[in-house]
Formats: sequence, structure tokens, C-alpha cells
Amino acid sequence: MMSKRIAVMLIVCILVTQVSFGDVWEDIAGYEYGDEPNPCEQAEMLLQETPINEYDQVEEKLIAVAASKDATQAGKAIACRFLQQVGTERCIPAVSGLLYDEILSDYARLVLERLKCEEADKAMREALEKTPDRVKIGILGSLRERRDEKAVKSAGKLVHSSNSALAKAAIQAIGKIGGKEAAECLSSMKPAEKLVPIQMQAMVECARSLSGKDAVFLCEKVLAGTYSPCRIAALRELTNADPAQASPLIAKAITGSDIRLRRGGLGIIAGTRGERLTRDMLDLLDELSSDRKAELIVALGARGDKAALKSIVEYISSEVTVIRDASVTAVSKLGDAGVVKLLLGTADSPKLTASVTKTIAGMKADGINAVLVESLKNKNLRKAAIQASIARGCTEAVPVLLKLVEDKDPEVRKGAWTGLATLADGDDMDSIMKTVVEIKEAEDLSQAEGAIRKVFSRAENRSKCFKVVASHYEPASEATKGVILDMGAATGDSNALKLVRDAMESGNRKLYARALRVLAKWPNESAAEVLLKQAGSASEMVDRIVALRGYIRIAGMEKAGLTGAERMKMLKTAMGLAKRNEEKKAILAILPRYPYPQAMAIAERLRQDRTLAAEADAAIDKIKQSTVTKTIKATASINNGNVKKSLDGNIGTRWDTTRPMRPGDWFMIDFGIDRTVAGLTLDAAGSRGDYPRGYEVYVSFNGGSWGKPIVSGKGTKPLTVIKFPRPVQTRFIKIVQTGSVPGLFWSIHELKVDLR
Amino acid sequence: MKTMKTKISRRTFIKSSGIALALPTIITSKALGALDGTPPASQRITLGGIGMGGRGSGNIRQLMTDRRVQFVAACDVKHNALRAWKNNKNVDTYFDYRELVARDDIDMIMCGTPDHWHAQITIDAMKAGKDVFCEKPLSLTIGEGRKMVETARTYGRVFSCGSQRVIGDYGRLASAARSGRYGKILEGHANPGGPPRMCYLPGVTIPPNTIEWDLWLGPAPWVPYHPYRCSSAYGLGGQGFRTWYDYSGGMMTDWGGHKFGGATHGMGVDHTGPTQIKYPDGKEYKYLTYIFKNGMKLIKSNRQGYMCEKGWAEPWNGMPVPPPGLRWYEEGARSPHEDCINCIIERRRPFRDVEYAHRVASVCHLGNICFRLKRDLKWDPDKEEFINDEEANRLVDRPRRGPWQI
Repeated sequence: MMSKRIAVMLIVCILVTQVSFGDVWEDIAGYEYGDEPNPCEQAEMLLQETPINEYDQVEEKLIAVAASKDATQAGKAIACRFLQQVGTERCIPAVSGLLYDEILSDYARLVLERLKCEEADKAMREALEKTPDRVKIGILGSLRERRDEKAVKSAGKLVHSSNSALAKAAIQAIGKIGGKEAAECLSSMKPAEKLVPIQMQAMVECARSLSGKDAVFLCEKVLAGTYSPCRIAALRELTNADPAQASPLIAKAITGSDIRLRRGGLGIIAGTRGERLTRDMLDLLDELSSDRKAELIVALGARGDKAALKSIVEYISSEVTVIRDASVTAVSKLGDAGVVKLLLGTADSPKLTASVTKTIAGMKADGINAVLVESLKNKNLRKAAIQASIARGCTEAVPVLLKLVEDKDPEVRKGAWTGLATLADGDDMDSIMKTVVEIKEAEDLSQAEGAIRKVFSRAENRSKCFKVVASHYEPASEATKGVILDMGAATGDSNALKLVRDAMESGNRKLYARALRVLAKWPNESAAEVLLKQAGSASEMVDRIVALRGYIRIAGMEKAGLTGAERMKMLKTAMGLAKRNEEKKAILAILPRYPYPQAMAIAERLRQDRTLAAEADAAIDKIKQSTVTKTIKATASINNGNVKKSLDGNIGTRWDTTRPMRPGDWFMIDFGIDRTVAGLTLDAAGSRGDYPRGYEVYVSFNGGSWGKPIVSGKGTKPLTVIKFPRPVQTRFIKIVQTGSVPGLFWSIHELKVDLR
Repeated sequence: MKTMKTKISRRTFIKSSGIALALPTIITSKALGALDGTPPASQRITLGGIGMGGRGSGNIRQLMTDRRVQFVAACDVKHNALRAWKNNKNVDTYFDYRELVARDDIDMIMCGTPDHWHAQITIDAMKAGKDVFCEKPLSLTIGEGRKMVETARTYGRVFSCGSQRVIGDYGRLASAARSGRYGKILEGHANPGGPPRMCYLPGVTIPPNTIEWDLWLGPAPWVPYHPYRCSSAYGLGGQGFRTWYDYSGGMMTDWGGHKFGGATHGMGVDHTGPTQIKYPDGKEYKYLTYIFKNGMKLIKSNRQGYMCEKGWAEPWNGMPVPPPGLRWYEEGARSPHEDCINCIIERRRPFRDVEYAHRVASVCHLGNICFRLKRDLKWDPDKEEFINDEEANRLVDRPRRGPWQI
């Protein structure tokens, strides 16, 4: 019984499908742009679900549309679009009939150009004889794309047409189709003067389809002309076909005064391969002026032929800046590990060191870092090697740099510390600290401290790294101890806190002050207790202030693991200790972020102080707004799960309709209790076009009886500010969207309520 | 159709400078090469901008910050887009790009038009000896992209695409993934957005003096005018050209140039293409997935990043230079604009060379074709054709309206 019912349902489905299948394709015949409902969209969906082996049925329907006398122009155009996907040889007679229509011929070619069969070529060649010029141009384009050699003859007849656009299309088609017949046709034709560049382009194109003497013949023809872009292209083709013949022509191009031809020649050197050209160009170098020499050196570098390296390296120490810079560029591309020491050896001035460093940093060959490490051990090369290691990010250099920080030469020591600061990581910290605690020179110490700060900031596991650093605390100098304490604040764990507390109790006034300031920047609540104690009992006023500020900071710190009650208690305590307005203002700035009743009480209390009234009023307003926003319940006609995003204080998040806005979409808020409201602001600035095109605002005490809208209007910009005619008391507010715009959602990134 | 304007080109300037030398007061120091490093006019790269809407103008502004560049001509089929340049005596304005490209005194063009014009304009410009800076996405079809590459190579032109985010936004991620810290990259993830759709908007009357409609359509099939076809309104909301199949690859290509560009750059597969494209089946392939010859996967998921052997690579600042083997701007360039100018002068290939831009655009087009046919595809990245798949191969390129052939 069950299987019988399923079978019946299946048959119904098939019938329904067939009926809709037929209707949709037939409806296309009468289609005009903008028709609704749109059969084309339905047809698109239907085709996506149609198996390939059923395309013949679709094709049949579409052929009928294309061949129909009654079908609209738009309908036939759309039929061609579908035939582009499903068409076969069968559709050629119907589609080629459209080739004779000025508009539809382009659509017919959508089908014919992509069909893999000779019949399509034939249909287009036939049409070429009888169609208007504008259509001919299009057909020539398709025959050209299909590289239909049989079309060369027909196109050849059109190259001297008085219609220059047609003649141009014919010449272009012959060039692209290529082959010997095309080459003969192109080289013998005498087109109008303004079409000569087109003839040259076509010859270049055609040369690419040929090889040997045939290609060389065409290239020579182009090179004999005066049109630079094609001469460059021909030179390039000639370089591929006959390098020996091309070489002197390239040399002439790069030494000549025509800047385009010069750039073209250099481009050929850079972009082609072959020993012959490299050799010829190197021979040419000595004869050139500085500027031309520099250009050629760069091009040889880009060429990538290592045979040029030896000659180019010699120019690294040139006195002429452009030549030196050019050789740096070239060597960085061609150079390998074998030239690194040679380069470092030439770095005997700041300018040359910079060039060498840049060159080595840019080199991509293997084994360069190993040579750099070796060079660090060489007294004559080490200064440049340090710079190059840094520029290259050579972390293998770290062990040698750790030794070089004890070198006799202060310049080497400085370089080594810079190197460690850039290249060392947390695992190297123990070795670094062992060296640091031994340092006597103030300048070295300053560089070392800079290095350990940078290495520590990069450490993946800061707690582990701090442990290592802290183990060197005792023997360290006072200044280094200060640096270690700073790292404690960046760590924030119990070990770090203990070290900082110990420092405070060490009896050393300077260390106490440093440690207190470190605590004031502590990243979590664990320092609160010590800070509170110091805020109340430190002997110096300045220390009490520092401690109190740190304590207030922690109370307001969002990531601190504190409950609301704990925060309020801390702020209340802080208020009791605060003597100055600066600290009281700091407390007021925190309160709106935590809109608890206690926050309001603290703000009210501070408001009594006239000198703080303005800040306190602002805080009270913000607390009220936050309190309301946090207690509002919102619902919407659509996408209910995201309504809170319009009330989260974050303009980066939003509620939206998830589809284009429609009249009747609504968004409702419930205050929970009655409130007096003077207006609303709907912020859609984050999705600029998504503001409501029209709106009506309703109010209600029970969420059921709404009555007439209290205000209505049109949204015109991303921020929709709605002012009520007068403040109203209500519990529920509903905003109904009344406009529409294709393709744009209605979004509320943030909803603000003007409360009275 | 050229607008009326006094034409002061570099060439005419140079020609006239012989006379001008006798009247030195009319030559500015900038024209001769100023002490601030501005090269003399004869050595500056003369630039013409085609497509002067928001992004095109942005590119021009950025290129103009380079003292080696002199902006001399602006072209757009929308009248409004040229309004800002009409009173500038040093810039000629055009509606038809062919007039700009035909000028012998222009060295370089910036193409900032809608996608369906990129191939035509840049190929014509390269054949006329111009170097090119072209806004992404590179092309409308895979076939167009390949022709752009071939033309650049044949005519020896420098061609840089404008995807500044590949390094600017995603370079740090690529550096991290390629640093070796996370092991081998297994998957690249990115989500550029969706494909375009067919446009069936009705025809409306063209408001006078607003747009050259036939020129705006160019190689695309003829349809009646509607402002939502040609507006630059962003996204797939149906109000701008990026929504429509005839003019754009949708968000897939628009953001794909950046996001897939960034991901494939880090994966080191931006010189080739995938061999398989898996249509999302909700099971093994939850998202559109590209599989490359080396086994790496590029997944159109909801995040940008790299899944490596040791987990997700996180961006970091640990390396002073990009890790060896990761392509980057060369010679200290900081943007594709600066890189392009450096490369024009030095005649080398830029970071976003046309081949790389083409490969990335192809990834996007392959995704669009996969979505259109709703099935898995097999691709030969060397021949750039689908394997034994005639239906898909028809979508590799599109016939063009006459007379627009490339």
C-alpha cells in the first residue's frame, strides 16, 4: 500500500516537473526585460537541476524560441544564452538565422563561437558574405577566436574596405588565425596608413604561429617599420627564432635615444633566456655610459643567467652611485653563497655596507646563512656580516653574536647587541642574562637592556622566560633589576608578583619606587591587595597616589577576574582614600561600564562635590542608559537570534533582516517597566545602505494594543534619528519598516533610546 | 569623443622646451627636475587613467604621490567621473579610451573600469606600447586572462594588478605560515563572497549627459540601460555592476583577488591552478574546495588563514624580512603602485605580475563555474581547460560583442 502511494506521488512529481519544464521555456519566447514573474530566472534554476543527458529536450525548446517568428528580441537573446550551455550542432540552423540581425548576431555568436564543430565556422563564413558591416566585424572576431584558416580568404577581401573598422577587424582576424596563408596575405597587403600599426600587430601575432624562416621573415618586416611597440614585440619574437640575428638589434635598441625602444630592449634581455645574448650584452657593458650601463646591469640581473655574476660583482665597489645600486640589485638576484664573502669584503664604508647588506638580504640561494655565520668569526668581515645577518633574519647567527657582545671593539659589541635584540628568542635568554649581569660599561648595559626587553617581548612563553630572567636578579645591577621588574608586569604571574613584592621590601628606596610603579601597571587583580595597602600607608604622598591609581585601574580592568560587587567595593574603598579630584574623576570614568545600583550611589555621592558635578552628571546619564540597554528585551519579525547585537554597545555587530528589507519588517523593545521616551536613533552606519527607507513607531503598555503610530517618516541616511512629537510613557516600542529597496537589508547596528 | 581641453603633453612640452629655454620663467623647477627628487619631465612616466570612478581615482591619487609619475589624461564613459578633471589644464579628458591609448606621449595606463572592460583596454594599451596598472579582478573570464598574459609577454610590457591586500593585509599570515613554525601548510582558507547572477532589469531612458551607454557595455551583450546595471554600488545587492554576470565575477572575483590571492600566495601555488574543484556537498567537502597538484587544499570557508601540520598559523611580527622563498615586493616597494613604477623603470616583473593575477582570477572563475554547474570539476592548470568536460569548457571564455575583440 505504502509503496503504491509513493509511486503515485512520484508520477505526480514527474508530471508537475514536465509541465513546468515546458511552460518556462515557452514563456521565454514572449519575454521582455523586466517582466515579472521572470521565466528566465525559473529557467536558470530548472537548468541547474537538469541532468546533462536531458539537455537535448531543453535544446529543442530553445531552438523553437530562436526560430520563432513571434518570439521577442529579448526572448531570442535569452534563448541564445541558454543555448551557449546546452546547444549542439542541432541548433546551428536556427541560431545562424539570427546572425543577420544587428543586435541578435552578437547573441548568436555566444552559441556558435563556443561550439566545437565545423558547421559553426561554415555558418559564420556564409553570413560574412551577406551581413551588414557592423555584424561582419563581430563575425570576424568569432572566426578569429576559432582560428578558422578557411576564413583567411574571406577576411582578405575585406582588408581594403572603405569602412576602416571592418578593415581593421579583418586584418586582426588574419593575424590571429595565423599560418602561412595568413602570413602571405599580411605581408602583401597595403592597408590605409592609419591601419599600418594594426597590420604590424597582426604580423607579430601571425609570427607567433610560425617557426623558423617564416617567423623571421615577418619579424624583419615589422622591424623595418617605424611603430615602436610592434618593433619591440618583433624583436622579442626574433630573439626566440634567431638569437644571433637579434643580438645586435637589441644592442642598438638599448643604446639608442628612443626611450620606449630602449625599455623594450631591456625588457627582452630581462625576460628571455639564452647564453648568446648574455655574452653579447656583457661585452657591451664597458662601452656604455653610466646610466645605460646601470640599466643593462639591472636587466642582466633580472635575466637570471649566472654567467653574468662574475662581471657584475665587480661593479659593487663602483664610485658611481647608479652603477653601484644597479649591481646590488643584480647581484641580489644572481648571487649565491659563493659571493657572500666577496661582497662583505667590499663593505669598507657606510654606503657600501648598506649596499652589501641590502644585496645579501635579498639573495635567495641556499647556504647564505651558513656563510654569514662563518664570516662573523672573521675579524675583517664581522661588522658587515652582523648587519647582513640582521637584515636577513639569520637566527643561526645568535650563538656567535653572544660571543661578540664581549668583543674588544665597542662597535662590534653594539652591533652584536642589536643583532641579539632582533634575532634571539626566549630560549636564548639564559645565555643573554649570564652576559648581562657581568657587564660593567654603562653604554653596553643600556644596549643589553634594550636587547633583553625586545627578546622578552617576543618570547612565546613569558612565564617561563621570566623565570629564567628572575634567576639572574640577585647578581644584577640596580638598573638591570629595574628592567627585570618591568618584565614582571608583562608576565603578571605569582612568581613575578613575589619578586616585585620582595623588591618593595628590600629596603632600597629606588627599587621600592620602581616596584610600586610596576605593580600599578599589573595586568590582573592579584596586585590589588598590595596596592591598597600602599595607597593607605606609603610614607611618601607620591607613592600613595601611584598606588591608589593602580588600584582604581584594576577595579575598572575588564579582564580582571572580579565580580560586580567586588569592583564596587574596590571603587568605594578607593573613593574613601582619594583626596584629589584626578583620582575621583578616574573613578567616575569607570562607573558607567558597570551600571550597578552601587555605581549610581557612588556617582551621586561624588556629584555633591561642585567641582565634580559635570563629570558626575555625565557618568549618571551613561549609567542610566547602560542600565536600560542591559535590561531591554528585544524581538523582531525576522532573525530573532541576533536582536541583542543591536543593543550590545558595539557598532561592529548588528541585527539585520538577512534578506532585502520589506514593508512590515518590525523590531520591538520591551523595557520591562514603564519609561518615558523622547525618541530613538537607529544606527546603520556600519552597513551604510541598510537604513530603513520608511518607518512607523508604535508604543504600548502591554505589547498587544498598539493603536496608531506616534511617529512615521522616511530614512535617508545611515543614522535614522527619530524624535517623538512629545515624550511618551511606555513599556513597549515597535518600529515597523515601511519602505523597500532591491538588494539591501534593514540593519540596526546600535539602537539608542532617548530616555527622560 | 574628446572633451575640449588644451592639450599639454609631455612630448609637446619637450618639443616646445627649446623655445621655452629662451623664456625660462615659464618652466617650473618641477618640469626640469626639482631638488626634491622629482625627475625632469622627459624622464617621468606619463600616466593616463581609464575608469575614473572611486577605485580608479584612488589608484591615480596613489600613483600621483610618486614623483616619477605625471598624470596627463583621464577617461570615463560616465560624465560625472570626469567632472573633477575638466578644469585641470594639465589633464585631458576623454569618453572613449581608444583616443587616450592612441596618444604617443603616454607611457602607462591605469585601468579602473568595471571588470568586463579590463581585458580589452589593457590589451589594446599594451599593443600600443603602454605599461599597465590594472585594478583587480584581472579579468571576466579565464580566457581573457591568458590573452592578457600573452600580450604582456609578446609586447614586453610591465603589467601589475592592483591587489594591495595580498601583502598589505594577508602578508603577515603568509609569513607566519611559511616561517616553518607550524610545519607544512595543509590548507589555505579564505572567503571572498558569492558569484554573480544574470541581470533581467528593465530598460529605462538614459538621463541626458550622464553616460555613454554603448561604450559602457563594450564587449558585453547589448541590453537596454538601467542605472543598477552600471552603478558602482558595492556588493551583490542588485544595485551595481558587481552583481551581474555580464560585467563581473561578483564578490568571488572582487574579493577573491585579495583573499584567494593572499591564500595562494602563502601556499606558494599562485603560479599555477588547482586540478580539482569540489562543489560543496555538506559532507566531506562542506565548502567549495580547490585541490592542487601537491595535495594542498584551498577552502572557501569562513576564515582567512592557513591550517598547517601543527595547527592554525597566527600572524606574527617575528621576522624582519619575509621568510626565504616567499615572494614579496622587491627593492623596498611598499605597495603595488610603487612596485609597478619601479618595475616600469627597471623593466622587470612586479609582485602582482599579470601571470599571478591571472592565476588568482582563474581560481575565482573556476569557483564561479563550479557554482553555476553545481558539480565537481577537473581542471588542467597547464592547458587551462577542463578535462573531458565540454559543458564547462564553454565557460572558460565568452564571445565578445563586435567590434570589441582581443
